[in-house]
Formats: sequence, structure tokens, C-alpha cells
Amino acid sequence: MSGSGVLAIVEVLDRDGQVRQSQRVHAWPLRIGRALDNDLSLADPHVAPHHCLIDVDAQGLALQALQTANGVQVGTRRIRAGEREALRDDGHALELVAGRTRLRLRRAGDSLAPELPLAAAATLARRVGPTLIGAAALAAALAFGTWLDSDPDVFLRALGSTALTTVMGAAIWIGLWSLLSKLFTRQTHAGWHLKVFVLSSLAWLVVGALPGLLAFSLNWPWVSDFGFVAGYAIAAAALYYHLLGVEPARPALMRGVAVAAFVVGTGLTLWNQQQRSDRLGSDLYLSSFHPPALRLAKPVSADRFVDDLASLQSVLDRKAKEEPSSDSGASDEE
Amino acid sequence: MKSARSRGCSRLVRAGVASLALALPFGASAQSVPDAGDAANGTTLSLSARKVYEQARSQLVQIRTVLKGRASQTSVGSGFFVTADGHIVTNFHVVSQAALKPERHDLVYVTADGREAPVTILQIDVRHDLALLKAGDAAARRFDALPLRPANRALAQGERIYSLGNPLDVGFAVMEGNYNGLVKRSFYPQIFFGGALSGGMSGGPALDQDGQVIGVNVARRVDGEQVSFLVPAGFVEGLLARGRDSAPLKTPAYAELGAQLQAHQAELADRFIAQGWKPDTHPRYRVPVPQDGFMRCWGGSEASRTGGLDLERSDCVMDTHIFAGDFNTGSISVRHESYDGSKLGALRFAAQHGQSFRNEGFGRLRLDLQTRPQCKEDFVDRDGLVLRAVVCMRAYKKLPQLYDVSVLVATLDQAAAGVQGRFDAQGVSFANAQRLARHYLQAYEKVVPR
Repeated sequence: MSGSGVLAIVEVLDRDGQVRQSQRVHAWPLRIGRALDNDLSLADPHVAPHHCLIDVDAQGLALQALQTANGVQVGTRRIRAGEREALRDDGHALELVAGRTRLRLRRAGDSLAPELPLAAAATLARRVGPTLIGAAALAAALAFGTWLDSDPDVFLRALGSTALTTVMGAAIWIGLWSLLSKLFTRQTHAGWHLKVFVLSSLAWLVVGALPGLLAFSLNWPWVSDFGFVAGYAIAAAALYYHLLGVEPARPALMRGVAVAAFVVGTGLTLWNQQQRSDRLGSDLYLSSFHPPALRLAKPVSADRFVDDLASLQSVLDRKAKEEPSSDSGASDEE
Repeated sequence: MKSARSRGCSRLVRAGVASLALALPFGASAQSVPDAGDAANGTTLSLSARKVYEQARSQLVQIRTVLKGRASQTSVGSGFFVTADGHIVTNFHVVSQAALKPERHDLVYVTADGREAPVTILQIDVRHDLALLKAGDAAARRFDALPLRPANRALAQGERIYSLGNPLDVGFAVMEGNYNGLVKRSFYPQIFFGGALSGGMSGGPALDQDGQVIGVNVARRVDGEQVSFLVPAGFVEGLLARGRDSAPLKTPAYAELGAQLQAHQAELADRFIAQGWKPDTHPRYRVPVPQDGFMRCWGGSEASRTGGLDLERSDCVMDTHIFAGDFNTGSISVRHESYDGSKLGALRFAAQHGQSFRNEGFGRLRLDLQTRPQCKEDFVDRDGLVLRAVVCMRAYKKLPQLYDVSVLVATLDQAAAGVQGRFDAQGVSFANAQRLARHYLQAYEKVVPR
């Protein structure tokens, strides 16, 4: 780019941020539009024949919108036909949107980001290390969970089936995400998706076990009652990172999708539970047991416990008077 | 706990309403037997059965519940005249639809001659499953009545008795059988009749050789042969004294039903608490297992086939349930399982202990009959023995101030062994629910090893 007389480069970007076309500017003004007599001619039907003009004046570069219905977007501001706007000069490249076309203006004086090392230049250990450590931890956690839930004589068989399900499930899951990535970015990003899968599954297992332990230890049944919210948060985070591998250029949108999925999922689950059992939580009572030494909460006397039942009466009497609801067909349990 | 399996030997199906629908298809095959419709003509009957039937024939009726405005019957049972003024005795469960939904059902009686007339309900006795009716045409005629056998003339075991009624709407019949004393472990006295009862005979009389009423047909065991039950005639006498001059029932009888269930639960809670617990139920704890005055306990043990949890269980239930229209209530059950997880170790045992404690059901009755369960839970200390205790209660929607209460308990003092228990009482007052829960929880104790 050190060619003499080049004042700037205007790049036309595709939706993934890749450069599709680039135009060297040797002299201002630069006229942009669909007509062939422009300095930069665009094929976008949302662009006017003579759309805008970038010119230099006493303050520096300025953008002049010409005969256009759609105008030009600079940052958050839209410049309409006939308006003129000074372009900021803070040493960084500038993005404009004309019609639906994204343009990047790089000026000769702009500062450049330092050179990114090639992925291959990073050591193999740095690249696959976290994934490998995560995978080992995940395998250990799964094996422990299987050990916990199986009888001694059938542990190995159960372990085999857990391993098979996990590997098959992971392969299908990562394969589908990679396919999506390939569709949108022309790269599979399989390593990325594997990493997201491994780390999020590990987090899911750990976070899945904690609420029960906490609820038992401190006698806070609500922690395990609403433990699913933490699980949903992990799932939403996993969704966000997977989506980043599909649409790397739009992290804010993907974050929005993940947050929306979390909010909608949590809301629907709470509503469903309220409908099903009259309660927001998932469990009618705590049933996560741990060795006696982990119980920190102090027990109450039987008398006190039974006396405290009195508060149920008003609730029951009120609910008994309510009209039988429409779901009176069959009982939900059993 | 995993033990919710029903055993063949503990199921009770009501004769009449409940089993009628199941039994009706057999009517077709029965018709191939000559004269099946009129058992009185059968030549296999003894002379006395014939005599008894001939004497009782005119006092015997069939009670039909008919859908208002439709000709179709919704259930049939039997009954008999007890006064010359037209008082008829039958089972409550024969007339429960008419008693609880009078806006939709009519009641008629049909005599052995085929004469049909409306009948009204004067009084019900839900605890003993009896109802006192009055013939709608009582003003115009007098009736033959069956005499009740005086209570002071006890029957001897093995004496011949005759049960009359209209089984499965096939025709009036007399069934011969034996008096076998009172049913063991019944909450209310019931006569054990060694003879066959079928649906539709409910409410019919059982007569001795002199033709006096000793009881009212009420139920049979479907898992046995000729194991049938009668309500003793003494309760008929009480009901007649109480209700013979009552005004006919016009509105749904829920208030009366509720009042009688309240009386039942008061007696049930008192007697249950008074009978106490059995000793030596577990080497390490006192685990509540009730005395079996009116309950029946079954036990079992299972060693794990996969090197896991070994368990022993005990399951105590009452044979007596109170039929309350759409459901049964008024019963108590107590059960527990004790686990030995020494082959599992602390962590694995805790996981399986918790899994076993999960998903206990409280959905016995539909949501139009009961509220959803409301629960309380905590760690409870019993003199150094720490329990996880959960109490869940449901209120009856049509029976005010009656509740089902369930208490779940898991012991948490040992790392690799424990006991889980469940106590259930149906249709009790709130005060009694608390009293029973306290009684049950306080039964858990550590036992000092001898």
C-alpha cells in the first residue's frame, strides 16, 4: 500500500466482512453510485445512480449525499439527500453503508492493528490444550456420574454405554454446527465447536450438581428448585459461542439471540411448571441426598416442624374453594 | 421408595356399582343355562333355601338409579323392606349417585313381581355403607317387612345363611353360604360370608334359616373365591331408629357425607394413635410399624442382584375404606423400606437414597376432587437421629375441612444405610392431620443396642 499518491482505499465488504472489491483513491472527490461514470460503481439496486460523494475541504474529509432516497449511514447517523457531513478522523478505518452495500474507508494516515500471528504459528499445545484438558475433565465427570448412579456389578457396562452415547452425541452435535459454519463462513470451525461443546458440557455437569448439594447442605430447597435456571444460562452461553462460529461478524446479534433464548426458555418453563403443579419451582420437595457430614443446616424438633404445618391450612382452604379448573380431567402425577 | 406394587390379596371391589360394568358381559353366556333368570326354580337348592326365598320374595327389591329424563339405568343394586310403612334398606354405594347428584338421577325400586315405583332417600350411613329409603307409594299401601335378627342371638360359625339380591340385573336370586364370624382386622365390624356375591346384589339381605336378616350384602374379594362381606344387622337397626321419620333428601348430601366422614376420621385417628407401634422393627432405629388391630402389614426383602442396595420393606394398609361417591377415603397406610448400602459406599448410597426418595406420588384423586399438594419440608431431629421430613397435604374440594396428609421420612444419620418411610391418612381434619404427623414422626428413634 505504499504506492505513491494513494490517498485512501475504499473497500466493498460482503455480509461476512470479507472484501469483495477495492478501489484506490488517487484524488478527491470520489463519487459513488450505480452509474458507470462514477469513480466507484456499485451493483446494489438500493443505490442511486449518483449516490454520494466523498470530498475534502478545510475541515478534512466530508460526505455529501447526492440524489438518493436511501441516504448513507455513517455510524448511527443517516445522511439524507443533499446533506453534508464531516467524516471523523480518529486514525481508524471508517464504515459507511450506501443502500445495502457496506463500504470501508481506509485513509493513508490511519493506524494499523499489529500483525496477527498465523494460527499454525501458535503452538499445538496452545491451540488444542484447553480442549484436551476440558475433554479429559468432561470424561472424568461423566465417569464419576455414571459410577455414582450405577451398582458396582454393572458399572463398566454403564460406563461403556455412557461413553458411546457421549461420543455419538458429540459427533452429531459438532457435525451439525460445523455444517452450519461451513454454510455461512466457508469454514467448518470444527475445533471451535468441539471446544464449546466440551467446555459447556463440563460447566453443565458441574452446575447441575451444585444446586442439589447446596440445597441439601444448607436446607435451601429453592436452590435445587430453580437450579434449572443456571443450567439454562450455561446452555444459552453455549448457544452464543456456537453461533459465533457461524456468524463471527455479528457478535451483538448472536448475544441477543442467546439472551432471548435464555429468557424465553426460562419464562416458558416457569409458566409450564406453574400450570402443572401450581408452583414455579421444578420439585415438590428436596430429594437430593448427600453423605451426612455435608449437612450443615440445623434440624428442628418434630414438634416445631409439625406446628409449622399450620400455615398450610389457609392455603389449602383457599384453593379448595376455587372452582375446579379446566385441567380437571386427569391428575398430573402418577 | 419403590414399593407401590399392589398385591392380589389386598384389593377390594364393591359389589354392585363398581363391578357391574365388568361383570355384565357375562350375562350372555349365563343365558344358555336354563332358568338362570329365576333362581327360585333351581332344583339344586336345598329345601331351606327354597323356603327362605319364598318367604322373602315379596320383601325383596331391586334399586335402580336412572338418569333423569332418559330411560337408561346408570347402576343397579338390591334392597329390602324393613317396615310395613315402606322403609327400604340398601347400601349407600347403591344410591350414592342419587344422593350426591340428585339433579341428574332418579331412584326407583322394582319388586320380584315387576312392580316399579319411585323411592326417596331418608338417611345415609356412610361409615357402614348403608342407606335408608322410603317407597314413593308408601301412603297407598302396606308392605311385608323382613324381621331383623336380634343382636343377642349370635350365630355360630358354619351356620347356613342365605344372601338374596339381583346379581348383575339377571334376576332375583338366593345364594347359599356360611356364616364365618366377623372379618378380622376390619375397622368396623363386618360379617365374613362364605358364599358368592356378585355385582347388583349389593344392599340385598342375608338371612338365617328362620328368614331373619343378619346382615346386608356389601362387598366381596375379587382375588378369592366366595369371600364376601355383610354389614351386620345391628347397624340397620341404628339407621332405622335414626332416620325412619326423616324428611326425604332433596339436595346433594355432601353436608351429611362430610359430617359422617368427620366422625369417622375422629374415631380413626383416636384408635390409630391409641393402638401404638410394634416393637423391634429395625436393629438400629425404632421405625414406625403400626399394631395390626385394623391394619394388615406385609413385608419382604430384596437383595440387589447387581451388588447394589439391599432392602427390606413393610407395607401396612387398612382393608376398610369409606366409599364417598367418586372416590374412597378414610383410610390409613404406613410403609417403609430400610436400605443397606454397605456395598455402595457413602457417595453412591446417598445418590440412590435420594433417587428413591424422589417422585413420591400424591395424585391419588383427580384435580376436580382435591387441590394440588401443598408441602413443608425440613431436617427434623429425633433425639440425635436426623431425619429429612416432608409433609404434603391435599384438601377435598367438596368436603370442607377434610384433608389427605402424607408424611415422607428419610433417616440421614448413617453414611451407607438408612430407612425411608411414608405415612398416609385420607380424609382427616387438619388438627388430626397434624396430630397423626406428630405421632408418626415422634415414633422414629435411635435404639440403644442391647
